[in-house]
Amino acid sequence: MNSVGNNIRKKCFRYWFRPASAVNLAVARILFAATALWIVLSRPDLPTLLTLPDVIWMSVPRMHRVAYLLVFNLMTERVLYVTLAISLMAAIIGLRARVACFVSGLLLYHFAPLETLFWTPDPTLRGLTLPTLGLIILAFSRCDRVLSVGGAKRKTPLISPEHRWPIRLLQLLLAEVYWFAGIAKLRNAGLAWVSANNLQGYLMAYSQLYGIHGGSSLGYRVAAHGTICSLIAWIGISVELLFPLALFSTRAAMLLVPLAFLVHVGNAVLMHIVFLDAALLLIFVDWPALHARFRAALFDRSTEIGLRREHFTS
Amino acid sequence: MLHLLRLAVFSSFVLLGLATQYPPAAWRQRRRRVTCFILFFIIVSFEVGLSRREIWPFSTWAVVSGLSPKTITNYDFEVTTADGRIVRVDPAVWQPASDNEILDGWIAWHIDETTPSEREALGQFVLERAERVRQSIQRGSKGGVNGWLLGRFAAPYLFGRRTVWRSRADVPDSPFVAVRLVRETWDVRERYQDESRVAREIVYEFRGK
Repeated sequence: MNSVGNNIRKKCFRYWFRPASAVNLAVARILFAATALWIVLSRPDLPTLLTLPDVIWMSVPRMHRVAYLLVFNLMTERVLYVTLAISLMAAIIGLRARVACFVSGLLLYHFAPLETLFWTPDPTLRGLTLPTLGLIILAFSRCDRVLSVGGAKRKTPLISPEHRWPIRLLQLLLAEVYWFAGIAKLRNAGLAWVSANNLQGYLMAYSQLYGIHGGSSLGYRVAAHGTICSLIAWIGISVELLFPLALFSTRAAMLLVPLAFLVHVGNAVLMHIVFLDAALLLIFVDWPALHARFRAALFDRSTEIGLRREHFTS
Repeated sequence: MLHLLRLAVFSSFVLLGLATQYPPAAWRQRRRRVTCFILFFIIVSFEVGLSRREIWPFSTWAVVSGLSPKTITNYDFEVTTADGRIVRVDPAVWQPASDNEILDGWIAWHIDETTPSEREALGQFVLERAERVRQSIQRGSKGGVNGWLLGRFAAPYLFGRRTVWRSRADVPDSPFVAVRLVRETWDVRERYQDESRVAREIVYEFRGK
């Protein structure tokens, strides 16, 4: 019994703290910051939501605003929003990257709910939820070791046990998006969710609400084919429920990550639901290993590459 | 209180994260603090995901998780020009808010609770915004405020209605003078068979001063 416990502990330890390259952390920093910056620059006037008519803001309990510290005047919010954009840029180029990630994460916590607060305090899926948590996690990691201004001068090692856990945590965060979504479907609707009838209903409803009127919507055309609808539903929920396997198996990740991306494309085209964080799936890529493979394929110097791969992957 | 719990959970997350780095120590000494941070993240995120109680930014990630709706109620504003033409308000009028948050969110949840004077204030706001966007498109620029930095590369919203005012030809020459809120209801499958099967009702109308 004791040996089983020890074995599990060893496996957990190896999973979270096995030495890893700093490159993946730096890429994650760029991906999370760039995704957030894209959304922030796409809504440059976001603070002006505070100028919506009083009748709209009157329905928001004061505690909702206090919870997100939305208690400043418009000018202060504008200054903070510009600060957010600057700190995200700094995080991308790696200028004081950890501080930039920390400031960005805190300011995203402040601003993300503003988009929805007048009717829901939960801005889930509006694009800034994952960067809020992700940038805070990255702030406590050595994400500035490479791909950053002045990063090469740092004396911390390129490969270290400290580089593994933040990437694992970010991957867990991404996996939860899919797994919890799949679980919610089963709990709310059961197996009826994957029925052709259900997906047909969604395709019709979202096409009617958000698509193009009449038969020209692709969602409408697909809704005419029950078998295809059922197949799409099965693929979607299977990807969601199986996605945690990507946390433990490279092969599973190689299959599930592209499939998840395809599901997002399908959702956008057929149901008009746009997942703005799809690029974050790239944190499942082992960049140094990919680079080594690419070089091996290009130059066919397998001995040298074998050594490098051993260094970079573990 | 529940909302202050969000702040408390997020604060704990940040403080535990800070504790992984401060006070500075060798990696072996800090590893236990990192383990606490990881465990906190796992416990909170699983509690939220499995209990389906949001403690944002820890989220349930439940979207499109129920059975598809059989009927739909949709709210939209329509504006009337000085020469009597009626056009539907473009989603860009709401920017930087999303039309989904305003129409499917706030309007759908709260419009029935509003007083006549509040509806008047809302009507005045929509009329002014719509007129500003009309004039902007007439001048040849984009209507909404979202794209002024990134243009066509600006991030869309999670959900969004189709654009109504694409070019100068889509907006009237004369100014808007009145606005009305329309409630449309339909059976999803009936409308699929026949696009005209939509029931319309005017919730209220406001004429500008």
